[in-house]
Amino acid sequence: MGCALEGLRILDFSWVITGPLATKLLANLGATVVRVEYQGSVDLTRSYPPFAGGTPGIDRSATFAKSNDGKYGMILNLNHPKSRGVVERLVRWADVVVENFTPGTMERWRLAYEDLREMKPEIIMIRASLMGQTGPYSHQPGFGTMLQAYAGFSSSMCWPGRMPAASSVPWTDYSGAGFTAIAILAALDYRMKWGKGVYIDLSQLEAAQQFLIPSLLDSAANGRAWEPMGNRHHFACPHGAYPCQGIDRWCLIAVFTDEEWEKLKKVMGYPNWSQEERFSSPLNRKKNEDDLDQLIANWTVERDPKEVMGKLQEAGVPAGMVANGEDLYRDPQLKHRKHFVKIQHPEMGTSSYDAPPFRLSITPHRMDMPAPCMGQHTELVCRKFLDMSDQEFQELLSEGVFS
Amino acid sequence: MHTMSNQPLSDLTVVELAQGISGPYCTKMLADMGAEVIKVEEPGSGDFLRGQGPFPDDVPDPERSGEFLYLNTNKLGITLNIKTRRGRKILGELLSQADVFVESYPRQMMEELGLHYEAVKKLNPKLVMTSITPFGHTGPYRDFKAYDVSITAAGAMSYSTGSPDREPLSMPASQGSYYSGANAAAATMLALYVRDVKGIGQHVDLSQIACFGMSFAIAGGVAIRGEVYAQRFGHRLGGVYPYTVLPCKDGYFRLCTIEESMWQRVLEMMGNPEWGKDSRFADTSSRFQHADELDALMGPWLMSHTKAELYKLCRDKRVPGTPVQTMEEVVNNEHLNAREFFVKIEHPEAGKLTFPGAPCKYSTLRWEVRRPAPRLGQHNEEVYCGRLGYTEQDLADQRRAGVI
Repeated sequence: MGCALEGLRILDFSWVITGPLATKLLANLGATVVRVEYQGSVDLTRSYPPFAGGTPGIDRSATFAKSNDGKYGMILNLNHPKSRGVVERLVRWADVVVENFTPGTMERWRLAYEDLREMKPEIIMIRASLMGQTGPYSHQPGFGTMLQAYAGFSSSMCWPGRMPAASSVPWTDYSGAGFTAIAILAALDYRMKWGKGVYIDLSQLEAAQQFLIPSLLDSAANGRAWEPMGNRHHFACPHGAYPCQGIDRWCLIAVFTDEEWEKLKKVMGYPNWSQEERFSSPLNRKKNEDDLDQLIANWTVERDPKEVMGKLQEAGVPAGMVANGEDLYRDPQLKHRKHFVKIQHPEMGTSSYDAPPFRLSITPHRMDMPAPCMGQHTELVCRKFLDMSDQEFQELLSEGVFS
Repeated sequence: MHTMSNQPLSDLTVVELAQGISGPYCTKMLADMGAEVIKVEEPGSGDFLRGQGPFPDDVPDPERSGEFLYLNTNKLGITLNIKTRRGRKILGELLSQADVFVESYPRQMMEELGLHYEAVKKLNPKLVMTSITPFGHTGPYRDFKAYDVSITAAGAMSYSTGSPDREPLSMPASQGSYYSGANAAAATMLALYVRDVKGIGQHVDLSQIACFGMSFAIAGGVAIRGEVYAQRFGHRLGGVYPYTVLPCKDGYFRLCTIEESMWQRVLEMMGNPEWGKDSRFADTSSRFQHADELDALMGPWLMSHTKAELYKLCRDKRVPGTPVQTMEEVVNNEHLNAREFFVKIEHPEAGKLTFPGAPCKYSTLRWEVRRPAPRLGQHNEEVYCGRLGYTEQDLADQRRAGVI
């Protein structure tokens, strides 16, 4: 049995993270993805660290590589008048066109949905911009890290009394990528049943909003703003990150029920304080949470985070070591599930790429192609996918259409 | 005008055996695209989320939990005790007629109940079964438990969130569950696509932790040789400036400049102050080294402007800047409202509710609320008698026996 999306063709004008990560997932699942790049607007992540061997280079960024494996890469100068014929052939070749530029960019290249539909009526197009194609602020440029603040994450994600914090990673880009993939699959399903193309306007802001539901509902229904709580939780105690042996090592412990509290006490060896009246019920624990956190920290701080997680999990207490990049790389669970796949890259050497987060029992994923170097497959795409003749390719090449 | 049957999944039946967020969010996405979702709840208590707020006017009521109502809109609801043999037989009858089965129970429990994929496949080989568990169904941690915080922590999300002088900070509002629920919906859609093309059903084994593992720029470090890359920088981002949150007249404002031209436009916005020419601030990394000084220099100007004024200036100058919005500001946001994002709903029990709409707009289909979330066991008769052919008498008997 082949891959799930064998035979599916995707023309990918997307950049940075939201679009590229979605098309990477589809490529890993068997789709043929042609990523079009353009010297005038090189993907920002090509210049993001970390770089292979610490040496910067347009084909050496791991951040770019992680979101683009499995794709063919071509350069096409969309401002060149003769690029039009190539674009038309690419659109006719494709089932799906993906882009996530600031609204107006595709229009400048005459590649809006109306233009694409003229080239191929049943084309599926997804546009995944920051704030959608319509509305007063749709043309504001920006990044996922900004959207965290705009969507309402930052105002409740911080320590009480301190400045709104942020994640160092552009969280909303990743949620946007998941929804982009779902939308494409839904549109394909629709086209299969009804024979018609679909245009999708995805707003990364609206996608991010899905993940703040309880807080949004509380605000809309009761006019309440969620106060920053750090790591604490209304219905659980203890609930936080506790320091462990080593530098910047932590283990998360979350206790929602009396049963879990009993198990936690047992693993800690029933210290005297744990039997005190002030920790005897969820309400009492909540009242004395500062003391409780300190006492648990005194126990965790002398232990290895893996040991804390292992012992608690064995007893049935949900605990999770706070993993960093290195931990993930060495994680026995991810290793068992073959999450990281090693692929040889012409410039970067061997790197590990992430597999999809699920396993399908019959149709496997496929990961054997690294992220493309800038323009690596221009000729291959033209010849093999578009059936371009030698002469035609050489002519367009010499006229600068592919640079 | 598009009719309901025009929705992509309107020909599908989904059985949901899940509580809380990840499973119900996965099937909600399918329900919103037209699928008929039958939610199976435990008789008596039902989904534990019914007990969690926010409740309208803060009055707890199992039929009025905002989050439950949101997550279970557009579904049918039945009660069934799957711990009884009879209950499992009835579930089997439902599964033989279904297209998709989504569950988020521990692997061991599903196996003990004989509801694991190998058993279910025998009832219906074309069924797509999606299992959502913290670590996946295979590997040394497969039976570990996890709450939301431990999912984001183990997936390395927390490590890069929060202040450098404090412990890692978990994200608000159940990110781990929503994100993995959305990933489960994508994986289920994929398996349905395969079924359409190749005519086979299969098992989708989703690991919630892996959803995060694959997702982060921190993983950029992993790409090379498992280096620790992303760290906690509090309100800033490491190495670049200004990429930070700063106080302004009525709250906080976020600036995210990457390219040098963006910084020049920030200086222009501030009226090109003399200190802007200081060589210590010449490039983004030297600015980051002097970030505290720059915070102080930019402070008075920011404090003399409101969020709205700053946002307008940023839009005019094309500077990536944004207000740090409170939830109230999000709910009343002019842009979201212009796009008609929020949907007003009249719920029979909970009254008027405001729900966030769909994550994206399709040209060919309309996101709509076809029916409010079910009351506990609301559709027992419709499903058991209407679908499975049981009589009213059977229903009454099974109810007495504690099966339904």
